[in-house]
Amino acid sequence: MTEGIAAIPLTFVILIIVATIALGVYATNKSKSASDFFVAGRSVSVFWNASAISGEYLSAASFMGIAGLLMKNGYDALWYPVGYATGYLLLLLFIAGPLRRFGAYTIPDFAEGRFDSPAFRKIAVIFVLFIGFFYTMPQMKGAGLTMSLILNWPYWVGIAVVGSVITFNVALGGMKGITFVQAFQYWAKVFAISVPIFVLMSVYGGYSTNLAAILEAPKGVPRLGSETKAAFKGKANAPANAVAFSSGPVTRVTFPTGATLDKISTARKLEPGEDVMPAGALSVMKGSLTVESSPAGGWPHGFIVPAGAALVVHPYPATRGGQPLIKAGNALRNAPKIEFLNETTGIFTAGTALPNAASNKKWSEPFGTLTGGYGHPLLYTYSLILALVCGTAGLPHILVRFYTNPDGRSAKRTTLWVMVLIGIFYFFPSIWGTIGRNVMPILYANNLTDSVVIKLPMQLTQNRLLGQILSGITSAGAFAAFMSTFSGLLVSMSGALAHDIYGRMLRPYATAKDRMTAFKVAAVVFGIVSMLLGLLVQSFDIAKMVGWAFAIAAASYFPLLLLGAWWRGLTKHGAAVGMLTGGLLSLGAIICSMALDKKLLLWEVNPQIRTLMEQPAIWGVPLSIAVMVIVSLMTVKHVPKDIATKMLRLHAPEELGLSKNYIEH
Amino acid sequence: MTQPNLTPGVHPLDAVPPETQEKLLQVVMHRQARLSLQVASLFLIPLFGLPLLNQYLPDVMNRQVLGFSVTWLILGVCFFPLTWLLSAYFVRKSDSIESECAVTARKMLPENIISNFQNSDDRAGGQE
Repeated sequence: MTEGIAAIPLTFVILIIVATIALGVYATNKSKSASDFFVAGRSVSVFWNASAISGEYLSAASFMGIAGLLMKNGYDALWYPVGYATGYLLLLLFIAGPLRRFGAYTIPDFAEGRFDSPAFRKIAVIFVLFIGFFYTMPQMKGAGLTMSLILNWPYWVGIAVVGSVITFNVALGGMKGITFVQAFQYWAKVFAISVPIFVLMSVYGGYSTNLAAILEAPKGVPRLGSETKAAFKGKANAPANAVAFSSGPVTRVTFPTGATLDKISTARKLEPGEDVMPAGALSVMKGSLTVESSPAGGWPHGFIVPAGAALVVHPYPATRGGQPLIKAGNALRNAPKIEFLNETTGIFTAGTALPNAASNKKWSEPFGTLTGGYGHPLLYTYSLILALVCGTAGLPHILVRFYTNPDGRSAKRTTLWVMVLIGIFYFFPSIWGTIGRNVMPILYANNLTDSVVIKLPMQLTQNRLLGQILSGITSAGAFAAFMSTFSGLLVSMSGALAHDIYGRMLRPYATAKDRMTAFKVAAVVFGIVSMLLGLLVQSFDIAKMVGWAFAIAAASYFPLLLLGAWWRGLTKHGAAVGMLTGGLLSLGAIICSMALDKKLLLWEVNPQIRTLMEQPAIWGVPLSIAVMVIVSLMTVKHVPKDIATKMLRLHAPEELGLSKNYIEH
Repeated sequence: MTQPNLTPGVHPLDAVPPETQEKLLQVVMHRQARLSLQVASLFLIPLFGLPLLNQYLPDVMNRQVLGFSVTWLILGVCFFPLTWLLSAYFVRKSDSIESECAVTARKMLPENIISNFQNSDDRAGGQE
């Protein structure tokens, strides 16, 4: 672990922040009118717009989170980059063209224009905020984590610094500034994720070499090459304070300053009827002398390992009623799992099999630890895929960007380019995760897999300077990632507030100048709220949190846009009820699932239902669509009278000149 | 910037008789919808099929090829280019459908209405 400040990475991070602000200020000087402020005057070329959309889309989840999730969970995590990238195809096929032709700034604009209902607009605005806040949480975690890695700052300081810088930038520049900044940041991120990994591959072997080494030893687990120190989290960061030991070889950890074990349980959840862990599964040793040996079932809560002593963990064959426990022809094994009370430092001996790491077979094959956690991996997988591919099309901060295209055709071209640009990017995080597993397995022990892109280059002990520079590049890339996504989210949330809530509902006759002031105030308020939310989520995987924002978008905006653009029978009642039902139930399920993870809720939940709570898209999306259809059919007389005109405006080619901007400016 | 025009019913399309609007809609929507659905199925079938293959043919999917397992190679490497090909095909095809539809639709619209649109666009432009 790095002690003190990593000077070179810090320099890179400062450089990217300065470049971002400078670009933002430069671009702001060129942005004058209010329509410039909101949608960049619709004058951005296809290529730059695609770069900007990609820059905004590639968030901390893409930059740090996927590599970390893949390192932790293996194959299953591949669904994330694939879902993030390919979701754009659905957007292209069904939504990008019609929506741009309809000519409105935001989803609430679309909601109002399509259904002639200002009331519906209010409902639509709510979800901009729900999805936006959910999406900012992982960005904040990425910021806090990166700063704690390179500066040893506390988690909250990183959040405060990054959050303030971006909030300032957004309040100053609006979206025109951001188009340039985002485009620049896309290229910064692609550079930062690709160049360092090529250097690392030249040292540690390529993607397939590393993967083949894992595939060829299915029973293997990652092991430490040398004695390694690890910093463990405390109970405040549960569940990241848990260490589930390997059920293979014996593990020995020395605690120079001692450790308090808040809780002792088993690494694999007990099968029905399985005996508790046998006596002696854990022991405390000083040198080669055993000081204390655990009774059957482990020590009571709050057991203290004295300073300088070692905890030795003995995995054991699982039994039921004293007889070996056999499942599917294999004799099951188990090992202790401990949870630390406070932040603790431990030293693992060389050759230790890492705790919290799945076996190579489980890691490299489908239906592993990510999807199989609750015993229903196929269900989990399908629900995850659905959330990711449908959710992309419903992200408010992405959709607003499509209005910066001059027409529907260029909207489609832009989407095509976005898919190419982000597809290139998404190829790399999996390489980081794979090589990370082989080269830096210590990150499993202290639940820091999310930091692999920052930490891995520092492993280059042969050339420390190069390692620091590479780590500086990835740190800067990570910063670009949360800055661009967070600023995009802030713009869309503040825009919704200034444009929709303030400009339409509170003060319909507000001048353009008043609205710009409202935008700036909203940006500052939302920036602060996002920072506060970020403090709550330190223990959650970055990529998983983003997946949840996608699941909410998939069950609310996606059905609205899809049916709104293609089914003339959709009424405002149907759309509103469907969106609220699907969106709010998904949101509720996810929040309950997070509370269960955090042990704020202590329900005993059936594993199938638990799977459906953690990944709600598989019921949320169909439910939302079904409710929309049923309620619309019941309120058929509310179909707008000029529905044919509206559908024509959505679908008629531009050459006909039938499309007119919904908002004239 | 003028106040956004939110009043329903001021769109120049309102001058087009409803029957013509319906016919026009048929022309512009149906071919696009078919194309979108075709391309979507080419993408969704492999996407949703892969977990089933993983489930029911694990021996094949976990076999090693070029250092990857078959399923890793498909999901982690081949899926991105597949979507590029599909979307490039879609954009080309969809553009040509649009142009053809525009020609057909123009024939269905009375001349004065097209000029009407153009005038209204000019007016909107003149307001800035």
